[in-house]
Amino acid sequence: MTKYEHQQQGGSDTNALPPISPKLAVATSDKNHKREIDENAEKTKYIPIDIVESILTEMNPRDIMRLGTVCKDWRAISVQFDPMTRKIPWLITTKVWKATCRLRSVEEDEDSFFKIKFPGIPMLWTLFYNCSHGWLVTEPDHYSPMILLNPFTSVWLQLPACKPAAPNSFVCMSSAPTHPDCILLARDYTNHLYVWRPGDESWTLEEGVLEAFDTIISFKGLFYTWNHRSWCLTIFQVLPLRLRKLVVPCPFDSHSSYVRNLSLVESCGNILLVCITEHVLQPLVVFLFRLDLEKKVWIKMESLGDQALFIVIPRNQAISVSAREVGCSANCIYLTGVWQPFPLGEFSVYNLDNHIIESFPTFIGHNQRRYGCNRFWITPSLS
Amino acid sequence: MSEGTKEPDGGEEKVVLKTHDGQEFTVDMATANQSGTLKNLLSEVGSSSNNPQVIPLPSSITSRVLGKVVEYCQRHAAGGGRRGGMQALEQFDEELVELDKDMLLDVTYAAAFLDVPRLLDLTSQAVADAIKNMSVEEVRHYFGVVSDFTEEEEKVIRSECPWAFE
Repeated sequence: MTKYEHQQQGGSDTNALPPISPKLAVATSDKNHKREIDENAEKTKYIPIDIVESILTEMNPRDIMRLGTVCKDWRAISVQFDPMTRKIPWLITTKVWKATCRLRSVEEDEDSFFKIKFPGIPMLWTLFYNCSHGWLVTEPDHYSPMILLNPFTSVWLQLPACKPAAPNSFVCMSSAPTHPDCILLARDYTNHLYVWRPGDESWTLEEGVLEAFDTIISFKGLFYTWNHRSWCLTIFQVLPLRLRKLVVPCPFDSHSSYVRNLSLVESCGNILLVCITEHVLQPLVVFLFRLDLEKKVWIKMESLGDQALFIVIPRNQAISVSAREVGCSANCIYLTGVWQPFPLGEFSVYNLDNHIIESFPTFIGHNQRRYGCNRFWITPSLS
Repeated sequence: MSEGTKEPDGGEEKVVLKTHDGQEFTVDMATANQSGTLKNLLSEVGSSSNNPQVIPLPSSITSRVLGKVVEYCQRHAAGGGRRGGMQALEQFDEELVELDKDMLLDVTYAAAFLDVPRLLDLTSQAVADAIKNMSVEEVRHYFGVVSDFTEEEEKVIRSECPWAFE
């Protein structure tokens, strides 16, 4: 839906205004009939629907959705602008012990942001450490269980309570937790793996220990982990735990630079490894590799093509989207997270074409350095 | 509309826009071509300086409203290259939409009817700015719209996107 749609129709097609143009033509050839056109004149305050659309396109998603309750005609337009139907990830900022979060659009020429409240959740349980499949996730401890929250639907789940032997860290989720096939993995200090599925009333402890890893993804029904020191790529499934370990050598020099973030990400059916390192002279160097499972090697990539990545430092998670499909910049990496050493703003866009970083500052009035502020990329989900 | 900014056709051809309240606005083709509706129409019937085409307009476009649209079209037909450049043009746009509510909506309607895309954007933005901090009830009143939702239906919409109503 573009804002010019109705105008393009009028501009390119001479018959685009059938009720008006012929009458105008008639009226101009015979002035005695010119009153004919007045039959269509707007005497009431009725606002034509294409004008309503034109006005709504100038507003932010929150106001558009709110004004969808004005009347049915307005509603029909507002649903077209529903951010839930946008596939581009939003920047979501949550704060410790605050039952609100802030969403910011990263689309060019649109600095829209709005607040979402989550009613009903105990304030102490709102320290979100992860975000996956459109859900915010807390870390559990002895006092509070793991909480999953979908900020767009305000639905939240409380996972089974933490007994003496229980996980204390979220690991990975294969889909939204409302999906019946979802598998949620968590671990404890000793790297024991715990599994939860929708409907489970307790965690299931897996036999066996998972080797330490930097990053994990769920890909085609299996989980993949990799460790840049041990070179160990583990492919596994759970219930019961079945592991396959491979040696895939580290494709970059991990000694001369500080690895800030290492993410596995699925992109166009491939598994990519994105490495973000920090050097003395350069604040940020990005390496991209594609997994060749047959040859057990990482193959260096120079470009993402039409894809764009959304990465949270230092959570080692990434989302890959088609730039053309969602409307962001292609071959770019959108970075956010909580970092102190260098001024990357609230989020930054690293362009792989020219290696230029563009930083977007925190919106004025928002305290960036406030303790306990967490940022993630979130793709809205209705499930 | 992209051709609408082309050079005036020798300044010869004119067209007369006649409002319902009897006022006539004589404009050159470059100005008229800013409007997609007029451009299409004139490409069919043509016009000349000796016998200019008279185009009557619906009653919702009063002479005061048409005056604003013509002012916009004349200024933009001349482009940003003259009379102080783009900055002056932007300032002109800004001042043009400093209108009261009824006038702003009427100009918006006229911009849509006459198909002047950038004027429509301009006035739509001004309307959006005016209503963005209003309650839904205030917006209904602003546009004279009566809700056709039942209380139940409105509740369902609110529950579908709770984040928009916080």
